[in-house]
Amino acid sequence: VLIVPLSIRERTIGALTMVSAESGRTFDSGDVEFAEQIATRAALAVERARLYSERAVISRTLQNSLLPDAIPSIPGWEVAALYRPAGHDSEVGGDFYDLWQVGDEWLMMIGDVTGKGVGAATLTAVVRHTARAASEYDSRPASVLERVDVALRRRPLTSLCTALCLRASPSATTVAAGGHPLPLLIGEDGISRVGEHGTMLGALKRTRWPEQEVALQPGETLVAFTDGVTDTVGERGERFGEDRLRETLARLGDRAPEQLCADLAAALQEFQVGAQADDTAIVIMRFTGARDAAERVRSIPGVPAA
Amino acid sequence: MNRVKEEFVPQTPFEMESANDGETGRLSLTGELDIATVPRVEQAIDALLADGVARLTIDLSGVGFVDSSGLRLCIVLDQRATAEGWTLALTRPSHQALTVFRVSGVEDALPFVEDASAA
Repeated sequence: VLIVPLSIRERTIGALTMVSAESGRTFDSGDVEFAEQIATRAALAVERARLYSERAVISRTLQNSLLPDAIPSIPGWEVAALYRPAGHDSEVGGDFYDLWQVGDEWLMMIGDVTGKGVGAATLTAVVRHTARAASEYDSRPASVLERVDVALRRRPLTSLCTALCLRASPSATTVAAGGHPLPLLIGEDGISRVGEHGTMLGALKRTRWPEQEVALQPGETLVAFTDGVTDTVGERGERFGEDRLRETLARLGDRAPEQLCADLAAALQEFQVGAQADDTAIVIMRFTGARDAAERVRSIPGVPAA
Repeated sequence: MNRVKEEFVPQTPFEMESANDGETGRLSLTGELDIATVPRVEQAIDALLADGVARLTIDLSGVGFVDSSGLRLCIVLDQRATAEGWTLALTRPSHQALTVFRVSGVEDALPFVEDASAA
């Protein structure tokens, strides 16, 4: 019997055992050397496979922790969301969205942080938790964006984020944007942008985040998205763009948010050539007006990442 | 194992010219500055800075589209220039491409100049 350790640097992760049976052959020092070489290579391969799957698991865990477990049911609203990460298993994307409750108000945030991977995941966590914590003290969207901006600018490395923050209170709906594409309103009179542009978060000392109150009629729908939607590249190198997004929404507009999300994703998929270059996030909120009938609002499960 | 390499990510039209007179590094970009092309620009910039240029001029006048990656590149470069003590100058991209700087509220904060040759 010949047993050699499977070692990675000083650490033993297993053993390679060779047994000589009927032949009666005995192992000599040459065999030991040979076995040790095999063991070295085998140990490396095992370690690499282990690291790769560990990385993929970490990424998935991180990614899942960056999106809400499920879309909450919000009285007076029907909400659906979609997240399509670009590329591959082992990288975390920079787009995120979140929906949470503060007293009798609901807040929605959708955003896009710099970069990919663990760095982007860490940054997303900072943004989400800062926004949630800040909203407990002051739930005005501009104020939430300001707190996130301050938190990002305190970080040692340049940390940038675009975000749109929406507050749905029982009496009004208010939005503010920080360097983020403005949401579209599918209204009775067609499709229009709502909100005003504000400063990207984490970037500048001089900032402004104008808030806009949106007067919504029951049945009207807000579509918030990240630039992965409008920047999607088509067959002749053209971008999906806001005009095409408007046309698509005008065509699909009457559907329920969940269906609209799925149909919009399908339209993007059809338009795009090759692999998706950037993450895409979409949050669709239809105002039903039935604020006192929470039990009638159906809970829509979150779309799992990838 | 690595699916990335097999996936076809569409390449947007892009060309880059790099020049260095010892003092000033110049980078002229044509096409689209986006998630697909930014890494190439970063490489070229790092090469110029490694050569020890004191000024870096990036000519964006031939750029027709800038996405958030391109925008971030400009902001990060501006902050890096301040921290590392070199000078950055940018010429404005086309009107359409400038939109992303305007909606992000960063146009006034970036060192845009009217003419790359004067920078």
